[in-house]
Amino acid sequence: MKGVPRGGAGLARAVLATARASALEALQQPAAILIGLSVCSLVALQPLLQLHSFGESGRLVRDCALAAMLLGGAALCALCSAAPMAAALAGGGAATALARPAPRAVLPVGHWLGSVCAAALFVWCVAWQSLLAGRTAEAYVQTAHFAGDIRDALCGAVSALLPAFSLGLAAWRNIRRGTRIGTAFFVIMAVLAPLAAALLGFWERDGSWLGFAFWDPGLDWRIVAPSLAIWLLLCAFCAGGAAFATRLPAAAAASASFLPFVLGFFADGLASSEHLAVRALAPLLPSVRDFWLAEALANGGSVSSSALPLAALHAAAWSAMALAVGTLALRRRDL
Amino acid sequence: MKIPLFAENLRKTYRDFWGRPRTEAVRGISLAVRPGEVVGLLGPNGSGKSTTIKMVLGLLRPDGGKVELFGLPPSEPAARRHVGYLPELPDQHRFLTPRETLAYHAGLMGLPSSGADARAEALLDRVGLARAAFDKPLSECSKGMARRAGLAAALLGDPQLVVLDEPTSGLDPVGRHEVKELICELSRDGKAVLLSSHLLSEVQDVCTRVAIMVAGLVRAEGNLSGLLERRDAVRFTVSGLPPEKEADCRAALGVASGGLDVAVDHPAATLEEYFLEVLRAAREEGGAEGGAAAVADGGGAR
Amino acid sequence: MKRTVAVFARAAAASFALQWRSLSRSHFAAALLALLAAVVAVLPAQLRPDGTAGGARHMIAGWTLGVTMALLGGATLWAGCASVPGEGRRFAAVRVSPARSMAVFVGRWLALVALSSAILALCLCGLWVQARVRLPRAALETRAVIEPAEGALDEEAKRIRVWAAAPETDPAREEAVVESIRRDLRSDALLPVPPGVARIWRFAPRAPRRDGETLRVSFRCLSPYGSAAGVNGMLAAYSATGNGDAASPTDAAAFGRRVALVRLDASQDSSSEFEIPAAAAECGLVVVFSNAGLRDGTGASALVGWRSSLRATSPGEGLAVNLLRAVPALVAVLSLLAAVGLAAGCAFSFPVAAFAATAAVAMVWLGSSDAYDPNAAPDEVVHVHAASREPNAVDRAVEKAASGIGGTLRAVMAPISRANASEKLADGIVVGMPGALWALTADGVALPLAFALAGAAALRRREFP
Repeated sequence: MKGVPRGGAGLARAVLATARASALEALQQPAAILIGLSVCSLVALQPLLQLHSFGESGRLVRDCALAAMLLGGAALCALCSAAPMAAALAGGGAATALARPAPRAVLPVGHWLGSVCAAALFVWCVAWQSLLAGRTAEAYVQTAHFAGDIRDALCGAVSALLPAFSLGLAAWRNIRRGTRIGTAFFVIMAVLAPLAAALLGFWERDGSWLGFAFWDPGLDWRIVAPSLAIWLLLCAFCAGGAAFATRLPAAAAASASFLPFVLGFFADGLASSEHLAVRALAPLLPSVRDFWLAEALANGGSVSSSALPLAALHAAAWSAMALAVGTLALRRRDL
Repeated sequence: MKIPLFAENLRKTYRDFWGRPRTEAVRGISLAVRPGEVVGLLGPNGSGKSTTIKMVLGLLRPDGGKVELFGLPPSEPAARRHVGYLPELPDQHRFLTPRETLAYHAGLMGLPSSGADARAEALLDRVGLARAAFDKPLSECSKGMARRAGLAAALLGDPQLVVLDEPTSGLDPVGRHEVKELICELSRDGKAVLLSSHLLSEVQDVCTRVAIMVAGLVRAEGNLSGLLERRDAVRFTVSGLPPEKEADCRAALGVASGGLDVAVDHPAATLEEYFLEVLRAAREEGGAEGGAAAVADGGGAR
Repeated sequence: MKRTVAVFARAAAASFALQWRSLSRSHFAAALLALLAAVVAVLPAQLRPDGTAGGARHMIAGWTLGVTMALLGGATLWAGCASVPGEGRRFAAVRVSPARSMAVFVGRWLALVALSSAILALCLCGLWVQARVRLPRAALETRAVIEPAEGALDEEAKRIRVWAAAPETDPAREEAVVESIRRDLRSDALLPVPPGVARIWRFAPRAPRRDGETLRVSFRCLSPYGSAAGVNGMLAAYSATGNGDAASPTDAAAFGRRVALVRLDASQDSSSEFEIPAAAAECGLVVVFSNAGLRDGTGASALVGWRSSLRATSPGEGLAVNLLRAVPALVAVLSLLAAVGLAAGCAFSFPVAAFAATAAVAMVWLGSSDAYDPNAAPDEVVHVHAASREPNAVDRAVEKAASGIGGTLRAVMAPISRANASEKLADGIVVGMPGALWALTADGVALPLAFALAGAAALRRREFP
């Protein structure tokens, strides 16, 4: 048919179109805004509210921030990704798309790609909040004016207000121009957080002005690698969700997408089981331990150079397997 | 007995998340349905028919005006005791069988469980559902069968006011005929029926009165025969006229008499013709599109 | 009136039937059952006990039951959130019917509770089977805690005040000091018992329940250096006949007939456990711990908590009966979660309701914890009792907020907290039936009905465009 591109270019465009629609749909869900707002706020408020420390400055804040990123991201992917895809398949909305001259694989793959982008935006926002929370956390500081344990109150206030400010700005744009509030919130947050971190570099941790000649954001960049690893795990999680969504109703798809994730916590134990069948199951699960790199940062440590590529390989393999199963399941499904 | 349905100057404006008015769906309509009447509510998509029906049934709160069902506001459970409702879309629980659906609705109405089976079977027979489908989950039934089950649920408890939104949607021609017969039967039994439909032919067949809504207002209302009567044309009907006199009659302007029966009446347009005429007039008048009037502003929530 | 009640009941029954069918005929119930079956079957095999009977019991009755309740509770909460929003336009039929919103809510709530209780029952059966297969016989036994007598705490507080410091001249301050000691005892704070000083627990008279019944007395204390060793002392049990108060536990005339005497050695772990005939407690039981110190007069203080250091228990009916006793308290939790979820679902769409309900439950769980309880046992050892510790403005503000919010939450959740079914099952302690039934009545029925009022009001206001 004239005008309809064939081959790889056409397929890529179809996948990208599906991905774009999925990402927008995921970010527009009310739950996405609630999860994003609450996780970003929680991470920011943590150093101000916590009463204990593990001896190492900022460790509790860092670990809790990464845990919130993981759990919030999983909830986002399940509620805002797996569930809408399943609902579209059940409700007939996907039938229109699948009637187009594109293979059925476009739907789960495109949907997965969109979810991954939405998750990336979420992880980016939470990672910057984690960096700011790390700076806020109580630490020993020696400056020209002060020496002792102190919380960076200025950084704490900025990062605590950032999510609410972003939402307010997104709401204003929605009222004035009708822009999508969910997408706007995440984009504004993604832009403002690094900007705030950059501006805070002109202040010391004790609140004193450093001057324009000096700039030190004072951020613990080691948190980037564990954040990336968490995003990779969320990619695998989204793939599992997309696979379940090809067959299950919305609620079941969202719930079932947690199952391999939860079992992944026990993957190591299953791998050392006495029973062959159980040992065989272990490699099929995404071992969460490979993606949780926070422990490596304890006591000033860092993530090894091989950890992230291995995690990426693990996520890629698992995602490919899940998407392949999902595509096969969708091929045989009557719509 | 109080009027089954009385609505006066109903208004409804849909607002966005921030509470700003977006769409004025209903702009002040008055409606009454009396016992034995079948009132048809017509209008193009977006004219406010569904909004009106939902306000009448208490599913939406009107922004202005008054609604009474048997003299009570629709929010009162007692007001809804004698109302049966068939919504537009297939809205039955797909995991229930038709029998279970009726049992569920009977429970909601507070009907005693004694005789429930016999009551359910009688109703399902009345709406023409095959016996084999009585105990089949609705997910395994066709759209038409699910529609019949919904109609049976609407007739549960012998309601005095029946509100039907697209009752023949999804039904085959035989089914549509049966439903039309049922509606006429309800009217003969003294029930009040409010019917909303896009199928003008079926409205013409069963309704005694119609109200045509355009852009949130009732543009035309009245008895069907009166509305469809074309007063700008006169038709002379002569029975038994010999063919050689036909040309004379045609040439003359007066009525040829001489002991022959002559009936003089106004020819009737079809409802479709009349409907389109009303729509055309409304557009010429206010430039309003077929749908509800959008509130003019600079933006909107999505 | 009768007709109104009958109509209400029929509408509630119809809602119950619909909700039950909706859950049981959907994938939801099957998936949940499969998941919980996997948890009950697989988790005990994965957890490694510490080799003790108590550790093994913690593995099954503690961890496995905990995970099961967390999953079942979460599923119940979210099923409640999805109940109304999940119906979408179909709910219009309910709104158009003469059924009252309250009847609709109550019917759906009862269905959720019934289904989750049924699943809970199946899980408890599975747990019981696992316990019979995997646990040693000793782990299947339960003990019923015998609480100290009414007034024993007050008596002990006054006794501590007498030797602790010089009395205050102002009676009001004196009473405030005694009250602060009472509070510390009640909160199970670790109070020091220096060398030469004793701690006394009095128990009310108790007749033996069966022939040959024995009572078990367990004692454990700490030294200020964190370890359990280093305390030299004696623990004695007396069949009470006198009202004595003496530092030396060998002064039998003061307390009554001695039925047990155990020495605690500084070089070993300062804990002890012994059994006495239940008949010894027929006139009351007195247990005295005294810190003997070292021969040269030095020695560490022993840190002793009122409830945590000494426990007197009698034999219970076993794990199976204890599981049955725990059912009302566990069902109370599920019932409350169902009501919270349903109320949220009546007001909001599913994602917003699920988020709000989950956040609310998390806040209640955290807010009612000891971290925000100003009356909870303090972290550090209480050495000095003063009339009042002087807080600064920040302390006052935090305490006010904590006591306001946390206090309300704790008061609301008190019946379930006091029943403490999960922990007692894990510890092998008998779950008290009065407490469990009160938890079911207060938190499992009365509190959900309050949510029902809110949910029904939200339903009445809700529009269905």
